[in-house]
Amino acid sequence: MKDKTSKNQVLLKRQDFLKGMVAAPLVIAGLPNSAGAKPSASDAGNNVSYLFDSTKCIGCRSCTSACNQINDAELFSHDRPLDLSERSRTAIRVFLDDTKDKGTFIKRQCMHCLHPACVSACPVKAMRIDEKTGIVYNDPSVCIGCRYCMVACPFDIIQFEWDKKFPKIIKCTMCKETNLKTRGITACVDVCPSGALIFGTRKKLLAEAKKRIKKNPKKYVPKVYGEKDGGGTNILYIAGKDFDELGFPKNLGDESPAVITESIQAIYSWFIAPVVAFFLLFIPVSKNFKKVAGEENEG
Amino acid sequence: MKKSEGSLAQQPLFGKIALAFVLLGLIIFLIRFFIGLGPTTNMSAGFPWGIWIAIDVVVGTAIGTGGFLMAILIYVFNKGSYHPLIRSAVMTSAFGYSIAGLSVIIDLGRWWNFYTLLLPWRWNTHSVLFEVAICILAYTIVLWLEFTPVLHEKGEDSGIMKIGFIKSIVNKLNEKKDGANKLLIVVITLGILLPIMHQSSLGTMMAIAKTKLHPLWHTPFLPILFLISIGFMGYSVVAIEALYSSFYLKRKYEVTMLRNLAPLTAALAVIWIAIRFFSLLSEGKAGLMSSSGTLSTYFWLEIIAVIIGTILMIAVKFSSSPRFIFISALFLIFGASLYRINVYIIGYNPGSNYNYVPSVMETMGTFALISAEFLLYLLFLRVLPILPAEHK
Repeated sequence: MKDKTSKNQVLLKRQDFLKGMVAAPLVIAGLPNSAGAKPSASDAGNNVSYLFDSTKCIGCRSCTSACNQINDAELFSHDRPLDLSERSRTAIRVFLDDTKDKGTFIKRQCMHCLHPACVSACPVKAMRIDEKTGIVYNDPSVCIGCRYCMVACPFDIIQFEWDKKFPKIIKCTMCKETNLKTRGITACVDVCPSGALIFGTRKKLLAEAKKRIKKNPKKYVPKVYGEKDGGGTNILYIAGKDFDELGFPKNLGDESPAVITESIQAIYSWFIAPVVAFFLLFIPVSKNFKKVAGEENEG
Repeated sequence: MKKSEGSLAQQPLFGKIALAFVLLGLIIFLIRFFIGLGPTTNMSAGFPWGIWIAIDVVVGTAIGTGGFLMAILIYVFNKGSYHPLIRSAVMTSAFGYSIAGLSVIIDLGRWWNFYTLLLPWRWNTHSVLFEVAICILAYTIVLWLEFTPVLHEKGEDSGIMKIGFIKSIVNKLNEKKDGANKLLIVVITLGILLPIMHQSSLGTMMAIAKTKLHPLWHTPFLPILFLISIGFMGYSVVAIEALYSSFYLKRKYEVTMLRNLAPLTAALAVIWIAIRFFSLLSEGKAGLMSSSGTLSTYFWLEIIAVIIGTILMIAVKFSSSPRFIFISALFLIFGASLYRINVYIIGYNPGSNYNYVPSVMETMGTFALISAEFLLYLLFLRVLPILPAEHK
């Protein structure tokens, strides 16, 4: 598996290189281009994942409490956060129906995108994907705190410790260094009492989600959120209500937002275009420089 | 324009106010570094970037593109006759970019890690911000190198030559004049290439915020629109700054030269407006121009400012009043600046649960940086041979 990924990456790099050379003018013309594309959804089957079935969530918020206790012990309180903040990596949001007597709970946390905009945006590779698990995490030891990841994230997940002198970026890491390491499962899924959260590989959970929808088409809208949205995410959702009404970004589409910027930036791959441009500019500049300098000496 | 009592800046009160702003800013920046960004600014998870990026960096560097634009005219298009304007343009650029760089450091949450940006194995070449950061850093150095001939000309006796390392650099350049000139050609070429790269990328940067940036501003044309808008904005800055320098030092205005620049400035603005509307129409967003509420107002404010500026710029041909050039340039700068602020803040909507109005300290911080730039500009203007010989 590991060999395969590294070979894929070499191939990808080579593609990047060729595209950079050949496609730069095409990109300017606005043609679609997939330079820098990460493995597609089908390659991510073995990624660590969990499925949130909102029809089963009772809104008890054991998950947010457990997350806080495991990952931010020093901040731990039995807070029931209404939304994400630098003190809560996950939160349960409530979306009331028009009648106001019923509602839908949605768990919010990092979606762990397959082609994350935040990773693409980070200038210093502080935001990364763990190759084995597909987990998106931040390495504070290199992070410069520019917060471009927060601008880039279409789900508005990433948090920043605004009130600290030496702040960090805060986001869900799927308990990469905590519960996942010690118990092989994320803290939130570990404690969920209602079965709204189930843990597994992305492939398995995608199949399970589709099975549930097929079995109970009246209960669910026919969509697994995260299968393709924003290029696909590791965290999957099924719900009884349209996802547009549940706080998910509108007009995200099936492509990662990073595709737009990466195809434009492909002009710069391997610095070929800038170097060529440099020499094209150098010729007239050196000619005219002598002229201007000469005129000045005469004058 | 025959006010003989001198410019505003020569009156002690005006300078004192600017100085007070700078000192206040120093205090604010100390608070920022010793307490944090939260208590000083109104940024939030929804608005991770405020005016310290949108105004100080995005608008600030655009104002600083005059040097680059004059270099293109003179060295690529062989218009040597504009050479007298280049020094003050390069100086404005050098200050604009240095202040923007300073603002980035102040704004960075984890500024002590800034050096990681210089380690090639940390570079993420997919990142637009990576390219922008490296280019702005390099271009700031390039601008100060472009400025060295001025120091060189100032000669041995000036105060600035008392600073040891500046003296040694100037002396070295004197010894190897051919080599120094070759280096200067490389520097000038870089000074043309780097702004093309990062000024367009400042537009690309917000293309990634596909779900947050309002469709009136989100388009694949962002990099092209940003690049062309610095065209008319930068030449307008050159005009304003040339007029103001003459006013400040009580010299004759360079009206002829600035009038000759006006058609080019207007042409760039017309191209920009054309692309702006072409992108909106071709992407089927024509309806949004009127149906987006307050955002429609901001959109039209930006467009109308550029249109008025363009019409006045064309009319400059028939007038020789420096005031006329000044006003048309102001309109164009306002339009292009508002365009940038619209893309970075006003048209950026992370969701209804967030809003952003800069805090008092944040605003004062921006004022402080602008005041510092202005004061340094006036100081350099007096001390160094920036303006050309008065008569031709």
